[in-house]
Amino acid sequence: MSDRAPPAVRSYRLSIRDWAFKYSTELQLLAGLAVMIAIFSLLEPSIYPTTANVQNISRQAGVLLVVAIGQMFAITVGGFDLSVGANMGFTSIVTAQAVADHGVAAAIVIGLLTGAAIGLVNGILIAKMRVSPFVVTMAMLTFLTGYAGVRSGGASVIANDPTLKWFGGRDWGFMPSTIGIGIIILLVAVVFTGRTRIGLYVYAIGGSRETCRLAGIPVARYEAITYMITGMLAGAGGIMLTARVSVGQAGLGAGFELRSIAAVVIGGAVIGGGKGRLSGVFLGVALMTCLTVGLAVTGVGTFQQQMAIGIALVVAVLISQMRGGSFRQISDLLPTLKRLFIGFGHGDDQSRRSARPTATTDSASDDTA
Amino acid sequence: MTPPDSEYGPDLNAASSQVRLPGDVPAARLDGINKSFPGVKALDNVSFDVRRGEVHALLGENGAGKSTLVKILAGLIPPDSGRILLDGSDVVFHGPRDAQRRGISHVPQEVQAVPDFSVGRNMLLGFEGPFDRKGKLSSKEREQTRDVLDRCGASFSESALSGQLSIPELRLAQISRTLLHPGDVIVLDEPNAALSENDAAAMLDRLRLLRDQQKAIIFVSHRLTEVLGIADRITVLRDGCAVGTFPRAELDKDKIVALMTKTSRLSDSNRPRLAAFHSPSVEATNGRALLEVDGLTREPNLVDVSFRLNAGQIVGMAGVQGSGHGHLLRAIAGVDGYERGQVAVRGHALHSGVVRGAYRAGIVLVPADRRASAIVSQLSVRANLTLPIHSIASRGGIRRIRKERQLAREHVEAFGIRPPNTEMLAGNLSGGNQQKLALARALVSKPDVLLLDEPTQGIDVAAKAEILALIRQLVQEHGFGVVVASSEFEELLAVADVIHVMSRGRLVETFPTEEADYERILHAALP
Ligand SMILES: Nc1ncnc2c1ncn2[C@@H]1O[C@H](COP(=O)(O)OP(=O)(O)OP(=O)(O)O)[C@@H](O)[C@H]1O
Ligand SMILES: [Mg+2]
Repeated sequence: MSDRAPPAVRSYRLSIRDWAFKYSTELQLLAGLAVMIAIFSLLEPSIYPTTANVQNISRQAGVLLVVAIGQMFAITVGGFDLSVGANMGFTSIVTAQAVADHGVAAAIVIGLLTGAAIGLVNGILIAKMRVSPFVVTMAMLTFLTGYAGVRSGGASVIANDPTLKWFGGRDWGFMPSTIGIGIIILLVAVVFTGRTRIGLYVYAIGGSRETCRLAGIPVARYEAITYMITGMLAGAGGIMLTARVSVGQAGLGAGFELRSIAAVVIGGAVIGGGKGRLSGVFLGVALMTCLTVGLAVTGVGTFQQQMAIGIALVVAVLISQMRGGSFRQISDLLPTLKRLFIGFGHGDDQSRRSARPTATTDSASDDTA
Repeated sequence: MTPPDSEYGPDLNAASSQVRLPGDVPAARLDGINKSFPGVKALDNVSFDVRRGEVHALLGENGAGKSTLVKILAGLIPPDSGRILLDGSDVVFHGPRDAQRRGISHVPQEVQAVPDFSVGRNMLLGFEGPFDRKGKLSSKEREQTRDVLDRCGASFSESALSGQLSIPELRLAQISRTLLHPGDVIVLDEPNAALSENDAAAMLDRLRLLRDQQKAIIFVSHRLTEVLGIADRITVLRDGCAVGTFPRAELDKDKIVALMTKTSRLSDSNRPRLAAFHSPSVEATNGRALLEVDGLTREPNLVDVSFRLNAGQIVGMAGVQGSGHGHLLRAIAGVDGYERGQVAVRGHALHSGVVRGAYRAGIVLVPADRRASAIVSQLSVRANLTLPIHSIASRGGIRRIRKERQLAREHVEAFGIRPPNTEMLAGNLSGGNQQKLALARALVSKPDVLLLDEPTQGIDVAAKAEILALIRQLVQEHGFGVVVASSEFEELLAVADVIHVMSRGRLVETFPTEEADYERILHAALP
């Protein structure tokens, strides 16, 4: 060891162990998913593990996947978007009306533009005017819900067009079109995050806004664009739902805001920004959908389903934090709780902004981005 | 793991087999500590102890494992294996709070404070009563905190907002915080980085007092003169292995450096070239200076500061904490606005407080608070290097990964970033290596005017000399201009062409470097 040459600069390869560490959130989600599917299959062997049910699950998952990918961008850049559900409802009305007037192709474009425009307004208010994402997107949610009612006169708008059905209603061969669209968008997003400059900036701004500002990056512009993408994908989700039920409805996307945030957080992203992986989002969506469908199939009531999803969210996040041994003992929680109230990292230099309080007790658990 | 160094072997044995007085149990002892991070063995069977009434210095190159070791003692990270003993009995820490309760105070390497709280409030965090107010300090608290700050030689008030202090000032506040409630074992991870020598001297005096009170003190530093001045024993780490523990008397600077570095250092001739570094477009400046600063004023940190920077020149700004040299760079770069005065690049005036404008004019700042604003911790080294928008590594918004890799490799090599892994998360680099990355990143963006705020804080002795030489060489080859603000005057003497001295926000004296020496600068800089 004593006379080494200066180490050569290599592009390091991850060893299997490092790889498992890096993707531990995903591995845990996969394991959880497998266990859950096994349990539901045992409970309802004639319903759950069937092709029809798999199609059903993926039909539902497709829409959530698209919206959650958008939500991941908003969360990664350092905020979140509570207006995606209302955005879907509004886009649904707009699209349904446009189908009647201008045909399907134009309606889809109009729908996407509507979603993007909503996102852009969010983004400008958040990035340029520096209003908090909570306030902005909450206000947008309320506004859009009202506006959708105004536009539709409070009623549903029929959009029973056979072509539109291809984008969320029918199956593409054996594959439901929603999951088909979801996977296409997922692949595009993979390229976007990994290979484009904007994609890099989403992570960089979420990681340290100040550093980016000093690096001469027009931070506000890219942040606004990010919210625009979130809005556009919510719009896409709205179109898909419209196609599925053949009507435009203001309430169509209700609940998607929280479900999409839940899926993203289960997938390992951190509220506060800088972290978030599409593979995690995909598995988070899969987990949420398999759980909901499973509970419905086994005859659990709606209220109990909601309770179960709430618990699943917390458990999933807790498990992903156990990695690295930060929860070795319950006593670890005490300093964590204290810290939460004091709000100041005493010793470690880990992310103060992190929504995961235990990150401060173990730096080793904090490096899987 | 590491065989004893032949040259120092006997000493090493002598040190470790020193006769122990009965009852002379170390206050804290780490025994056979191992710690691995993905891809790095940060500590390899390291043992270390500190006794009451001694200062034990921990030295080593950047990335040697010093911070990891003291973080384990402070309960911030659990060891993979090995024992922690306090007063001879085994303990297991469940988090930093636990370690604090058992009397271990830790000053981390990176400064941290709640920016919206006053200095005093930050110092008292975690010790306040149930009815303390956020905004106001009670007169007792005020007295308490004032006292410690005074004795550390702080030039700022306890009611100053933390967010408005410079890095050296924050560092001092952080040390004062520890001295307010010192435990039995005090761990200081590079407390003197970015402090001027006389500020550091005040702090070291406080440490001597604490030593006299039979506290056990662990002191991590790259400033060997100060280490040799205060340490009783010295342990050197290299690549995660303990090279040995020596009484102070057995070592001098050269021996320490030899112990720390076993790698063959790059000499000027075989230093890799930064091929990707294109010379910035420093056009003919028509006899005008590259950067002109006139009457810049931002009370109370900057008062009527004027100077010129020519192409191909390195200007040094010397100052002790509170002198405003850091604020000057922030104002020039547009991070802070100013009340009066003007900053012009090649004769074009910039707007006050507009970062983008300054950046477009070719001004790039390497800020002193690396963790908060110099690097993005959650991104890889490669991504950090390619962040600046003018980076050549993307075309039409699409990243060119191969180009990025190549560029990253070149810079990692030129700046000696260890481990030389371009895919590692920047936040997982050691403090000194993060600082190297921050510097490398600034150069990727091809500045015309490069502003360096405490650029070599936390960088080890050997690497520091190399990096300063690299900057000199790049300036000569490419003709851009550099302003270096530093509290370490030696560094300015080594690198600058002209040295301006600041004191209380004013530019009080100017020396061509040939005429400057340490004493004269210090004399001018003291308020
Ligand atoms: N969380 C982490 N994940 C991965 N590697 C890490 C992590 N923390 C530290 N390391 C690695 O461990 C090694 C030791 O780091 P450490 O911070 O202890 O160095 P140091 O001696 O304090 O250096 P410096 O003088 O630069 O502060 C380095 O190679 C560093 O990259
Ligand atoms: Mg360190």
